[in-house]
Amino acid sequence: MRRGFNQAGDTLVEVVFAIAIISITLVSAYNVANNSYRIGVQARERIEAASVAQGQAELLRAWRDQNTVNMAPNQGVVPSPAGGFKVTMSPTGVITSTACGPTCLVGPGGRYQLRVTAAEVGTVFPSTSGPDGVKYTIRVEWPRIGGTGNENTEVTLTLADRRLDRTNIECDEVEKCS
Amino acid sequence: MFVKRSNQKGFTLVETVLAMAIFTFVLLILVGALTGLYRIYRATAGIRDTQQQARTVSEEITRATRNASYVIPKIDTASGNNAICLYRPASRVSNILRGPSEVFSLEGTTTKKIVWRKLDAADLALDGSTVCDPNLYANPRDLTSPEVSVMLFYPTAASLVAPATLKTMLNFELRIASTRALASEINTSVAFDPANPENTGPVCDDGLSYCSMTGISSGVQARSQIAGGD
Repeated sequence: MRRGFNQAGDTLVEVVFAIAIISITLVSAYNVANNSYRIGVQARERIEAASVAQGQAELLRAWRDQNTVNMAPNQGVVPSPAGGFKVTMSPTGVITSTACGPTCLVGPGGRYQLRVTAAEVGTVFPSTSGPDGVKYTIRVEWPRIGGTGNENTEVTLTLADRRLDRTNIECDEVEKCS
Repeated sequence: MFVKRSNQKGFTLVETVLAMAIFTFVLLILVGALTGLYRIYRATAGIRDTQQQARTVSEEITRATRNASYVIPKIDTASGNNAICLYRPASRVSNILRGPSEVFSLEGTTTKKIVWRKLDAADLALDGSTVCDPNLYANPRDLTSPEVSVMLFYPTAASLVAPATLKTMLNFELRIASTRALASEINTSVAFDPANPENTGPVCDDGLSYCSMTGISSGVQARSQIAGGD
């Protein structure tokens, strides 16, 4: 019983329904894309933060290496204020340690808070000779995208105090001491 | 059951106008959403590109620097086309500084800059001079892909031991923007301030919207100091 000339169209309700369905689909697609973008930004921030931490670790190591000739006892490898610090290199190439609390901004765009804390490790030598090394904790924090609070990443680095080799060994030449 | 053949009643003008209005409204929303989707797609692709490139460049610089003896940065404040020259270890016998080993240099126009890696054209003895000229190097190889432009390439170096001209600690700032990002989203007019390298440089317009840029600041220590008085 096919009706040849039924020209009745869709009702308004049907049209509205169709529009609603299309809208829901589109909104979901938009949300998915937005989420993937947010995840991309998060990944980028982790990479940036990791590079900040890695650069800091390298600076700490460089500091240790350049200070091997100064044989002051009872002294950490890098000056380490209790509240935390950061090591920076100026454009002219001077490496310095700056005391700073939780608000030391570094990194691309100054978005990353960097804080290094130090703890002495291993004192097998008499206390006058200082620690065997220093364990540094490099913590990087940055504001969470689209939310409250901070994200963070932490890197630990233990550096032997190479000065001990010189302060505790009674001969001048390393070859004769082994 | 029987539909009359001559039922040709159409819509009234009011109905038509109303329908068109609804349709236009919906269409506008759809177009806006689709444009948004496209922007997000480009931004996401851009972030991926810049991340990849930032990692590649920084890895290559790091690896090369660890194998070098010392490093000399070249800063060109006018163009921002800075360079990092790496030198290979001195001969322990004669203590003659060997010539430039390789260079990482930034070159290009203001809108499109590429990091190049070049090797020395000739194995020259440098006799202690500290020239870092990318033009002396040959066999260029571009490290960055066509999808990105390097907005900032800023090296600094420190010497850990005397003499002060021979620097073994390298720090570098890299900021890579995607060419997929819409041009208006990136503000390139901010000049780089060497006194405050961490907080300047090209920035996104509002820092939050779909801006595809990755910045990396990292440091690396060269393998060894120059042989001194051996």
